[in-house]
Amino acid sequence: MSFLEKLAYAWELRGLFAQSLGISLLIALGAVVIGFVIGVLLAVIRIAPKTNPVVKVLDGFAQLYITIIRGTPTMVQLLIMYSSILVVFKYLGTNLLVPIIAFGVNSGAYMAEIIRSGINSVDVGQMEAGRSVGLSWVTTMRKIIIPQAIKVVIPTIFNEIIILVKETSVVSVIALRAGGNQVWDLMGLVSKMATAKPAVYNTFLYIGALIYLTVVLLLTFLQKMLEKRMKKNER
Amino acid sequence: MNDKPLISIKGLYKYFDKLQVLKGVSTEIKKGEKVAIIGPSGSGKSTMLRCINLLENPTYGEIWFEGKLLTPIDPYLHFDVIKLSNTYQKQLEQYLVEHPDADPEAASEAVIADIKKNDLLKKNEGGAYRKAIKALFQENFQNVDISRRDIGMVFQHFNLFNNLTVMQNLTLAPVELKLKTKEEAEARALELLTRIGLADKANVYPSTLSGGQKQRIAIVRALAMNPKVMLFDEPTSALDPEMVGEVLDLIKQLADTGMTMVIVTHEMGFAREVADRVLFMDGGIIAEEGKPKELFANPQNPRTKEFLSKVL
Ligand SMILES: Nc1ncnc2c1ncn2[C@@H]1O[C@H](COP(=O)(O)OP(=O)(O)OP(=O)(O)O)[C@@H](O)[C@H]1O
Ligand SMILES: [Mg+2]
Repeated sequence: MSFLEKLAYAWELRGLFAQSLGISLLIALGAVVIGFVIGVLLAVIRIAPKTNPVVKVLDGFAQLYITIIRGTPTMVQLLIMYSSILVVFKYLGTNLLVPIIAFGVNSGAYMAEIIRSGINSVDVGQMEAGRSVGLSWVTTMRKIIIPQAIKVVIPTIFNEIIILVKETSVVSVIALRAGGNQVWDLMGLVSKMATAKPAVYNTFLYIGALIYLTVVLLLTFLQKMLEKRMKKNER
Repeated sequence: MNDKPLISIKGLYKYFDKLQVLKGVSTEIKKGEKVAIIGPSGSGKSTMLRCINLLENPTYGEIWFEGKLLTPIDPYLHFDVIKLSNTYQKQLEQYLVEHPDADPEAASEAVIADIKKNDLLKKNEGGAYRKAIKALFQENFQNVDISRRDIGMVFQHFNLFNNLTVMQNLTLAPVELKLKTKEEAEARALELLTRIGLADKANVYPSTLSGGQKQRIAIVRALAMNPKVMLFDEPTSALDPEMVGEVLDLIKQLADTGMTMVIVTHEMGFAREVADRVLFMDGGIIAEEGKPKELFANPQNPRTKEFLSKVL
């Protein structure tokens, strides 16, 4: 098989490539949303004044959560979620929620630390001003502190998103199903096709890498646009 | 009726760890009164002001606002209450046996800190005691978030909400707290901005404003809540000299409307002109107080004399 023939073969499979890219991006996007929500919640719990015993207990859980997630490999977390914790999804037609939750839970721990550093970077005077007009701690957090914190950490959050998108490439260690059929993420597809036709393995790997690179470049572009727009908002 | 204090500060102590910043401050502020607080740097002026709306939690003492207690009804907040308890007497005796050479004041402090830390009053003083405290609590306590709506505060560094426009800075609290509809709040905000000549800045973000503009907007942000008292913490100290005038003028106008005000300031001329009463703070206590004319012209305390000779 010449190089051109291999490319032509890949082009024939473009529908499958597109579908599997969609699966990869869907998992990443779902995980980003879950990770962001978990991240904000954990960050707020970590930052809350520890005067209330409930907050103290929650903070203990938050610390434990972050320690466990950061201390174990993502792929191991994914396999554990798949084989035990989220086993109920195996019996439904679709189990895409398993990797979405697994990567989301993983990303939440990292986002929490990022967002916490963002909150810490906001001047304490902002909280004091909010409290001085009678707003509660939670309302001031929601309306004043978190929006400013997020803005500060957007570049770092985007880095985390980019890492997450790339990390989802290990998802093929579990079998993915959607609508009752098996589906493949991008790298899963590459391996499957290479098993069927070993000669295309290298070429397909490069194609996979190129697709990921394109996605990451698009995300970087988006990040730049967003930063620019937020800057303009302040002028 | 009019002589009933709007704010009462009773036996206020504030420690930052070992550092004693306030050492027993008591005073009352009447409705309509303008009180200026002066004193050397580090004397506790800001801390005292910030204790009024509980931005700092007093270590001991009470803050009353409109006849309601803002500090928790907590025996541990009261030096004197702790000293009256049997627990204190017993602990002190024991302490003095263990430390025969201790300075009485230090001993008393150590014992009180220990009682507070280990929650000994609750453990030793019994159920009747706890019930009495609870009843008192239900009768007098007011959530500080509610009172803060009536206590405007202006900070040295403005602290405008950076992520909101000027208009949103003024309307956020009244709308969030459901005191006004968005339309009502915006109408009121526009009226206030017009009064200070900054209506054209309604839709810009704070970062585009000069220091003087920021501080005037911070003042009307507080006014948008229709407060009953305004607290100012060195409102002109962070401003370039040419902007001090516009801010002081606005505060004077506000004084003329009869607003109750407490102002920490280094502007002695301003204090003399606007205040009904001046408190001179030094080393965490009110070292001297009086009418501005008398205090500035004829200070009694040598520390006051020394301070005034430096700043006047
Ligand atoms: N949050 C804090 N933690 C620790 N120490 C503090 C804190 N806030 C204030 N202090 C200390 O308390 C003392 C009194 O501070 P405060 O700000 O009340 O003084 P001030 O009279 O307002 O002085 P200035 O005129 O400089 O504003 C200072 O020594 C200060 O360092
Ligand atoms: Mg100060």
